[in-house]
Amino acid sequence: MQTLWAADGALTGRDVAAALSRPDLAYTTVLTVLTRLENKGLVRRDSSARAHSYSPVASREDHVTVLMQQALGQAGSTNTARQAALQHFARSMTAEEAAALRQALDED
Amino acid sequence: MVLAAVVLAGCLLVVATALPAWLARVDWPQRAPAHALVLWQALGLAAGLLTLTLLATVALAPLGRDHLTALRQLSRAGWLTWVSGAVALAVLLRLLTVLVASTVRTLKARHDNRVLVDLVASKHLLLRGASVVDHDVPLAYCLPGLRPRLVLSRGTVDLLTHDELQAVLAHEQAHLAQRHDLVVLPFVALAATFPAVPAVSTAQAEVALLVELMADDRAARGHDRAQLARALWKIGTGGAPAGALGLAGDDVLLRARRLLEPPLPLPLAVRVAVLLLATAVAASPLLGVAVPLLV
Repeated sequence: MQTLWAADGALTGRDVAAALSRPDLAYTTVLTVLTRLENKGLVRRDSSARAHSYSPVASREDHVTVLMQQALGQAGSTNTARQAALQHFARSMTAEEAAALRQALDED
Repeated sequence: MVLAAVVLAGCLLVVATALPAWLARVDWPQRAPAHALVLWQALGLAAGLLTLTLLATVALAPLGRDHLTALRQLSRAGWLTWVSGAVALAVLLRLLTVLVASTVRTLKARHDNRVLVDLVASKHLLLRGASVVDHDVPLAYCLPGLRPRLVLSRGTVDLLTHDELQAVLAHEQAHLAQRHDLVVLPFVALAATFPAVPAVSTAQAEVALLVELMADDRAARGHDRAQLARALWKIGTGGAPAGALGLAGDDVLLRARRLLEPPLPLPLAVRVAVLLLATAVAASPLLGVAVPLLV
């Protein structure tokens, strides 16, 4: 995934294998991984050329945005079951709460 | 049998209204969060069992003077037996299906998030193997499960000092190690089943707070309590939208004050009394079966 994000355009299986600079990884292994990523909907395959080429469906930033939306509970859900999925360290505070806590910290 | 039904209804009233209201009002639970948690669990279990035993008792009442005699006479059952029996079965089925559905939703949300975390975050060995997501908004959470993840945003790493970060990670690791997700899960399911019952939402909010207190206490064993309180303030005011990041009732101020001025632990005798009360509450459904045999 990192290799595909770093590339400008679509890469063939051979390109990815070369860019990984991991001689221990067989070309077929790379193809297997790419197919798996395609099945998960993470990469798109272009079969027009003789050698199939692969490109990311979404950028890394897009994925980070979705992740943050899920984590911040903004994914259009007020569902407690979804909220309880992640155990947050702290929730965001209102201005009054923040002021009260600031005072308590200063007194300490 | 009529007496048994009256006793069970009385117990249900106390377990589902008076005791939860009392437990939410008093302030000793923050001095012994684990004990208060056991009492909440006993209340939840008893409320469910009492409802089912009460319905079963009403169903069996016309057939005999105690439950066993009545069960043997089941072939003579009239409409009251069938109606009450059907309601009891419906309640049981509803409880089980919502519990399963709510569990599946939670696991799905966790799985979806973990896939993204593994895709875009980098693991940091110095941060106890936490996954760091490249984003400004400060965020710290854990994804419980068989393949748990500690997740921090870069905003959190930049915002907190080394000691504060370690304290936060210790707090989240306590959640994972003590499997607080399993503790919270049935209460979330209960709240999904009975959204209109005040005691149920109270129980869910209180349990969510109690596991936070337990994780705070665990983290405070190896880290400075004030650092943890400062981290609460920093992340709480760090730019996440108000109301995000948390369950209702997970009261940040209460946690911070408790960290800065730790209350005395509850005396041993009181803690034993709480556990005895929890045992009595959990055993209360047996009263319904016992009463007709005794009188």
